[in-house]
Amino acid sequence: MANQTIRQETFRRFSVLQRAVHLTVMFAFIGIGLTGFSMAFSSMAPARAFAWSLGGVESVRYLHRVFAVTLYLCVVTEVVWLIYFKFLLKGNLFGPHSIFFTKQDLLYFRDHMGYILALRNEPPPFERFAWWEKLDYWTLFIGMQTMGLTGLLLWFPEFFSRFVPGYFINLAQVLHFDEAILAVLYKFFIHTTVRHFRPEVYPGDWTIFTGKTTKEKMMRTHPGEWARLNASAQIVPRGER
Amino acid sequence: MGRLRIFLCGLNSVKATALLQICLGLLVVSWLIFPTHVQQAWCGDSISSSSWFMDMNRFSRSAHGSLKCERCHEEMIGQGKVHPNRKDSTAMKKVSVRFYDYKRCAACHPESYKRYLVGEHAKALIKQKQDQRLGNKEAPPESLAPTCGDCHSSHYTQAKLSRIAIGEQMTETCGKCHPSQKMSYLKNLHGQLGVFLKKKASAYCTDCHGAHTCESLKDKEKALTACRRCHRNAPAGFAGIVIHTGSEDISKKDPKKQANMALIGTVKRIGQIVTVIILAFFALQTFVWILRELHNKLRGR
Repeated sequence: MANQTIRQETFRRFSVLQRAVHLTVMFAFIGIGLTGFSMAFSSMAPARAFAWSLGGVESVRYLHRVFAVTLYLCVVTEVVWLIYFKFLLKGNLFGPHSIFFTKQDLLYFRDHMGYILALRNEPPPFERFAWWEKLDYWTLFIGMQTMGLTGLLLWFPEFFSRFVPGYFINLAQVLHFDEAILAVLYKFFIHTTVRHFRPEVYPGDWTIFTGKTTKEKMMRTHPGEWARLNASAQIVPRGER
Repeated sequence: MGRLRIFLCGLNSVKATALLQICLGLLVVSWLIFPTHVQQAWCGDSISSSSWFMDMNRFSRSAHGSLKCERCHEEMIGQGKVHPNRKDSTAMKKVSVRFYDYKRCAACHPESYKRYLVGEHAKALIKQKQDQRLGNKEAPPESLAPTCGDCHSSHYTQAKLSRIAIGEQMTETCGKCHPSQKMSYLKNLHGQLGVFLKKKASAYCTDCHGAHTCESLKDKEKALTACRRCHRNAPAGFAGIVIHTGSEDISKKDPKKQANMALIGTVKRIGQIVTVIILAFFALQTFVWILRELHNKLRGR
């Protein structure tokens, strides 16, 4: 117990901003999924019943757009933070604490596949963010751009058909629906399974809500980060990613 | 087969015959005392909207219910033959709609009749009749282009239905002859909003294609005019949005539109394949991952 700042039991993993963004995205995503599918599958009675319970199609459309704007504002927040971090805090975007994909992640992914197929005994020494955490972040981040674009085309077809041929609206509809299926199934099933039903984290990994992580958990799930923390004997700068 | 024969022989006994007769009797009696509307519901619509027979109960509830028969059927003459035509024994089997002179509708509905005469259905009917005269081939009455009675039930159509109810009926009525267009309409935003989600402001068949004129909107200018009835500020490119996207709905004479829809179809196919591959990969990966961690936990690591 020489250095209290390192040896303390709990560490702060997520800043208030990150936790708030995650919580907002979570509820907005559930909302946008429910309202969107209740319109897309309106030929089925349960979807119609849900739309009715929200007060009819008018309010479903309104809510869908409110959630869409909320989600996109979260993306904007992230981008603004990124710019602030890069240019004012002079942070390193591709360092070990970064959420950006690096070449190392490919190797970690290969090693992690080896681990789950029992070809290796230990999972690779993940840094601050493991590959699936980065993937969850970036699929949503990039998905929001494409969903936002196709969604805007469907929202303002009169405006956009000035610039693009009319059948692009049809294309937008197809892509919006396909990607919605992909995003919702991925987030609702695979993301939740990885964060809740893995024996390692069961019944749930609450770090994203509390922002706190323990020494044991850090050593277990992010050994690279732990090693780096001990080597530099310095706490991770606030909010760095 | 042997068992079946024994079973059938058993049925031939006096006791079994009596039992079967009692069952049959009960069935007939129950049928007779059963409420008529239940019988109708079971049998479906026993009297089609335009047949030689009619259901006065339903007629009295309809929009024309207050009219007397003579108002529309004054002379009881159709195509120069007096009704009932006792000489022609097959008269009752012919399609009644083809015998009524729908010019009489114009007396009360002049605007609708005028619109019908300049519309596509009337043009198609004239063409079919000319073809018949020239080629002498008798087209079956079901395949002829429609007149008033084919789409409107003069005896049973109810008055003062809501716009949404009319829209739903319209989708069914038009869909009888244009099933692929009905399907693609219901898949389109307008159909989903109008028919399934009951949004009054959505467009039903005649809102774009015109009531009674039933225009084809293959011409971009015409289509744009139709779009602009609701989408006021629609630019010229707006008419390029494909509403009826089914492969059967797109004219063979429009290769550009076909190419566009083929492109969209390809994108859709690729999107579906990518979605399935990504989801299958991660589902499998997560499953194996859970097994691996379970294995570790059970080993106490």
